[in-house]
Amino acid sequence: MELFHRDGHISQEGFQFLIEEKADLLQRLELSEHLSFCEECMEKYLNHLDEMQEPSRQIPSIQAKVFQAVTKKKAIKKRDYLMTVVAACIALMLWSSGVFQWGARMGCGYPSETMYNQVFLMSQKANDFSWKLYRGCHGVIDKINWKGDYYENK
Amino acid sequence: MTIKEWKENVMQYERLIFTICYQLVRDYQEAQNLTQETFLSAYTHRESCDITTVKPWLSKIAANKAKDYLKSAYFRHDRGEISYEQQDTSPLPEDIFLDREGAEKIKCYIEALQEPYALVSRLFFLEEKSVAEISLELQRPRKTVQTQLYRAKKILQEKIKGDG
Ligand SMILES: [Zn+2]
Repeated sequence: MELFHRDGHISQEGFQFLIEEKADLLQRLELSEHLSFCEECMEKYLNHLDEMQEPSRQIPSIQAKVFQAVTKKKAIKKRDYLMTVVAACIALMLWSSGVFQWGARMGCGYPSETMYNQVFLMSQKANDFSWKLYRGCHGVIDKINWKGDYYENK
Repeated sequence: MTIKEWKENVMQYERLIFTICYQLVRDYQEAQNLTQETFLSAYTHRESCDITTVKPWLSKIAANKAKDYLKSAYFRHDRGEISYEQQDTSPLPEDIFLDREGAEKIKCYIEALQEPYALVSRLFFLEEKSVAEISLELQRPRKTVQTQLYRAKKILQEKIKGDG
């Protein structure tokens, strides 16, 4: 029994083996490898499937799950975008409020170790604060999106 | 492909894609997962799809997903199968003593190999072509050539061992 012709393409027997669910693990791996790059064999395989009788096995409907997954994916993308905007606004606010100028004044205009330490401490605090705010907003927007998602799928 | 067209294609081809995945992986639950992954991948890459070739395009994605799943299933099943990156596709090891008679024998084994290993092995071991050249000549992806050579080498080594 040969699944492939000498020219490398899948044989009639190979297609039959696959469709009749007789191929073992390695054979199915070899067939899937070939089908994933050979358009010619894929076309033949699809023709075989078209001719195939309706399978007795129940085929599940996957569309509901697929659409739901895409809605969720979109919501996550939107949330991430909003989070980026919020984080950028907070960063701008902190810069314009003069937090860092104040830190610079601490050094009386001369760069010193103390000045750098102060600036570093301030920016760390600002960072912690914006991170807390980020997480808070994250939760709120998450809920909003989930609600939207829920209504959309209803 | 627009989102609307994508949705229509999910409804039209979900049974076909499930059938392909199932015939390849033969696991009901896994076939469902792969079908879902196929359509999600199609959604992400919908702009690169020509609407007139949706059916083979989706089927190809499904075959690719199934291949990746089977590859790891085969790895778990046969510890000898290693990742693409680790695959050693150097010529046959030097520890196989090749006198004239031995070389003839190996040549016979290579000629007797079945597809999908015969063509890649002949080009690699006998004509000493590189993986890149074989990939180009046989129109097979480089990784596929590498995997096939790796498995061919294992088959040959087993035959040689069986002889000794
Ligand atoms: Zn082919």
